[in-house]
Amino acid sequence: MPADLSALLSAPSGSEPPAARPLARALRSPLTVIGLALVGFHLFLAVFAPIIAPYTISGIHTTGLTPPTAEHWLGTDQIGRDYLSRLMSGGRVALLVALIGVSAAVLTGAALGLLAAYRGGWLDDAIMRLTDALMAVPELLLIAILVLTFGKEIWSLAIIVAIVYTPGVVRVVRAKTLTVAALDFVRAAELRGERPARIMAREIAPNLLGLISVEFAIRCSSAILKISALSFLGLGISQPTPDWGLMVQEAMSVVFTDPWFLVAPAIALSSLIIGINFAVDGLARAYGVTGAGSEGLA
Amino acid sequence: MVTILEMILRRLALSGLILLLVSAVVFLGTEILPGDALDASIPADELMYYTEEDLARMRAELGLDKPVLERFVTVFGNLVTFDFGVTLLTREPVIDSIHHSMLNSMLMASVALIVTPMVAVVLGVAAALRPGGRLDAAVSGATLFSYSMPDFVVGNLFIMVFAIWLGLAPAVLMISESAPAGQVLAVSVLPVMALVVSGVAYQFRLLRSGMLEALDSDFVERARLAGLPEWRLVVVHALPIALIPMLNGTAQFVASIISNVVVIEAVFRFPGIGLELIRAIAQREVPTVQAITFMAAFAVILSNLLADIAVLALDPRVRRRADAR
Amino acid sequence: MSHLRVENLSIAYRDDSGKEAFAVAEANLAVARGESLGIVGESGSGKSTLARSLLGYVRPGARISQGRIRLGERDVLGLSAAELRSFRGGRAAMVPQNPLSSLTPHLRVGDQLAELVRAHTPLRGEVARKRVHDLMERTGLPDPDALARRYPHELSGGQRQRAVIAAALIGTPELIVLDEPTTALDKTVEARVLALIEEIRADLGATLVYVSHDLNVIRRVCSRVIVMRNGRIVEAGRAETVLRAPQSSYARALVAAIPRIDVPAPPSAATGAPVVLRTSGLSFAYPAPRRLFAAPPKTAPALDAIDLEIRRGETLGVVGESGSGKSTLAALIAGALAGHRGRIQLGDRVVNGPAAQRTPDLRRRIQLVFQDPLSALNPTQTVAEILSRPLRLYHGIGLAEARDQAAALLAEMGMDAEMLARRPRQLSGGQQQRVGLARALAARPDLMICDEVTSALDVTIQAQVLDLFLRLQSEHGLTSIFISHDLAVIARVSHQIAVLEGGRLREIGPRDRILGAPQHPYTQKLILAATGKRSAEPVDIDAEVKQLSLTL
Repeated sequence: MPADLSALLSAPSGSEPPAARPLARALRSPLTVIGLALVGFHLFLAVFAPIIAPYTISGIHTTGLTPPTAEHWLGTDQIGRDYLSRLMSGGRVALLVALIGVSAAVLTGAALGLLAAYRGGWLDDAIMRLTDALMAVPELLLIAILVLTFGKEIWSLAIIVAIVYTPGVVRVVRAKTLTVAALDFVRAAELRGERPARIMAREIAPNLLGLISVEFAIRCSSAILKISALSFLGLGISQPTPDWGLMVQEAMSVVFTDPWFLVAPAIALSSLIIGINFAVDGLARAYGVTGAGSEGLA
Repeated sequence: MVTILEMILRRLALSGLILLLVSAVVFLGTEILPGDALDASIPADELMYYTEEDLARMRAELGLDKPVLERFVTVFGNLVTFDFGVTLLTREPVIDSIHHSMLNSMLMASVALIVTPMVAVVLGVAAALRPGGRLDAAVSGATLFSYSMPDFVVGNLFIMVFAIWLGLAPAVLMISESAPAGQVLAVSVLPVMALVVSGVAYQFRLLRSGMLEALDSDFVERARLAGLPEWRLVVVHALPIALIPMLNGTAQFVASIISNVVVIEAVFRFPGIGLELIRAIAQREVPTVQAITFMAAFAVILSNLLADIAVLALDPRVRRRADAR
Repeated sequence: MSHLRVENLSIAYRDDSGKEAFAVAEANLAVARGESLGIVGESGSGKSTLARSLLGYVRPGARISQGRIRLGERDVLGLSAAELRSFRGGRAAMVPQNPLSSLTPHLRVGDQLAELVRAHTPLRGEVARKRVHDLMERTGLPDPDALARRYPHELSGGQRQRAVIAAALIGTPELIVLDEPTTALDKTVEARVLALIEEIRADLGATLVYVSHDLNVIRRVCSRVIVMRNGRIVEAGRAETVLRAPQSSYARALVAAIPRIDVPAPPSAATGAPVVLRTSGLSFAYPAPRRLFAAPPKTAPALDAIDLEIRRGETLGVVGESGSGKSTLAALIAGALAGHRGRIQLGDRVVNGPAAQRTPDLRRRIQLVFQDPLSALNPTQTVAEILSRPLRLYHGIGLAEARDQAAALLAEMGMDAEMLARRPRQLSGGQQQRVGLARALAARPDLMICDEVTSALDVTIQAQVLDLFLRLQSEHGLTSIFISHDLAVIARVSHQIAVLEGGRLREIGPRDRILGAPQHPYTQKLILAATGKRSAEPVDIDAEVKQLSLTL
């Protein structure tokens, strides 16, 4: 082709425009900003509650249930403890258990999912059948059974959360790995004679990071919900540790006369979950991550 | 090309295998306690009333002295034939003690199971027809909200709004376990609403995104450019394809409904299987816990199978791709 | 008095950053009744958008900012929603690009045609079914009743295209818009479909608007042509004129970039060079899926007894249509597939199995370049990482030196060293493919296999990449296998040509002999489909042009 004409056509017309940085794009949506603010607020509260709360969570100040006053802004509970202080610390345990448990679940699940999809064969079949079996038991039931076995301490709950949430992560990571492993650059690595371990770690895994982050956030919100529900049912976190689920359950008996005892923890819990979901929704959209979302929002 | 029959048989075999694994999980979860089920069910302060021979005799009665594997085989065999044995405490057959509450829960869950996908489809189609419009923004926002609120919060919210504030539905109606179906349904209204509100969000989202994708597809574009009316494009061409991802969500809904039912029943004090289960766990009634869990898993596996078959019916392409895994 | 007029049409949309851009800007055209107009352009030229607007349709997110479209007496853009519905599929019809994705997957083919009959004619019931049957026959579909009961994915590519054409004919349209209708088809099938389209135009006296990036096809079907670039019409006129003697510089570049079969052969290697690759009796069959109750179905072998010989510095062009086995051949030699029968020999070493079982040295000596550049490069790695890895793996050099060599490789490909920091998504298609070539070259292989490396690129970019390949060929004395379905591309780069059909080697020999005097009927069919002539004898292009300019 004549030189002058080829010059005409050599401009790289197909190159992607430098996209507005995804974070900036995400922050344009008001819902996402609200979500991030809520999450930030709750994290702050979880860390600093014992320091900034007006009273301790177990100190007894009155003889029984009292409505809000100047000294106790949300009143005191049946035992006489300051409700506001307990409310502020109500999310700490659930959050801690969720973070530890889900981290373990995501790490294990991603490793297993990647292994199952890439190596295939009997390993894949075995992992998938085990996953199917675990997922066939409704979550709450599985958690309840495991509580029977392991107990209700914080560490037990964390292990239980890890066990219950791993299968979902395995499924999702496996599905994505199958897509990625079919691409030609994986083929190219295999033709180079790269070891399977290296291919999984260096070629495939970096392409999973977006998905894994989304899954982590979504499952955290789900775990916090489940732990609160467990406490609500009396099977999870129990007295004297404060927990929003537990507080809702205790407040049900006085809902006719003192509804704020129920409304306050309900709002606290809901706002945390809503915050996580709004934030994840907006960020995932901005970074272009589509979850295979077997349980969470896509 | 693999026939549909082969596919169904293969899935059935797999489901059987999964059921076996589930029983193993349940068994391990409940019976690897230090000590055994008998020890667990007798409160510590009563223990001193039993002599060693008594304990040994009770163990033999319950078959607890046999080796683990043999016990598991027996338990699994029983479960599969729906023989759930007897409760530890009262020695009555497990089935008798739970079948009323089970029926009540199934009634309530079935209503929720039927209503929720229908609501999701109607909302999803409406939202997808004008994406980004007011209806879409309103419903999407509302569902994100309702998805994020724990069901026990939603339940209590309903009690506060409908029962206390508006005085509409009976808030705490204590009906007995064996009340007739009519009464059960009447009292289920609020709990079902709570279940639907929490559950519709995920399926709505799936249907909405499925519809958007289908409406944007080449074949809908071709049909539109061929002059077909809009309603036909939506209902005949787009909807069947859009339903496929939603059906998987509905199958998961079955699993989660079983979890949610437990919580909802606690909130509304509904005489169902949820409360049974909690009582059983608190009292460490292992056979009851095993029975309930097994049946729940069975329901989940069955619904997954049905969802897969429905997908086959909706998308003929899947039939050919079935064995190319 | 023109039948179809477009006056000053502009179609705008909002791009990613929210600014308004134009897919089509100030387009003007006029077509007489019964004439056929070709719209030519590369991707992003706006040709499909313009074509769709002729039916009064723009994609959601786009709007018609100005202009008018008239078909006969009608103002297309002024039609009401109801009028538009009867207009589309009635007076004007569209034949879409990809028949597999354009037919609704869960409805039977016959039902999809029937619903159109109900929408555009008063026919119902038995009469309507007969109309569907007749139309299917008219478009050359065999056994219409049986085919009507099938689902779209159960038909072949050519059958689907005919079905979609039948759908367009239901309302007896005056205007038929075809959007790249034969792009996805094999050349031999394409020829028949084009003939069908020509027949239909003559029968109905309809006006045809034919959108394509393939100038050869346009040349055969259309009497008038417009060339689009970035939303603007840069040239318009009679097809022969525009294609033989284009005026605008872009059109000239476009025409010059089309691979022609009658192009001079690449400079050949020194004679008597040693044999680099030899295969004897190479065969392969994909394992059939296991059945529960029946024996696995017998599948035809993907490759059957292939014997090849390639000497150092030579390029073997492998040409064949889809299903011919050419990609399987590439995969086997490169080591991506296991389980072949017969022998593959590199130099004097026998190559036994897939890459995993070969020695590192053997792996280095055969390199594969893939068709889809975006899939071939890891999106999370920079170009530097992509190129450094093979350099360090095969030559054991350090990080810094690898980076330098990577920069040198890029320079050879005509790319700046600053590209090293970019990720694949930040490169154009042509640049991505050049990185793929560089990666293969980094190994300094004995044999390079290029599997349809230009098929996914626009024509002008394809020409650039082929230029590059020819340069590498002569500068490095590259020994390679070049695979393509496009005979013209093969003609440009090959010293030897092998023709594959259905897994069998139909013909193999020196380039000039295969093109000038093909022996096997299949080879002749391919040449006929590509050129319209029985054999592709080298032609003196300058003489032809001089001849033409004398007659104008």
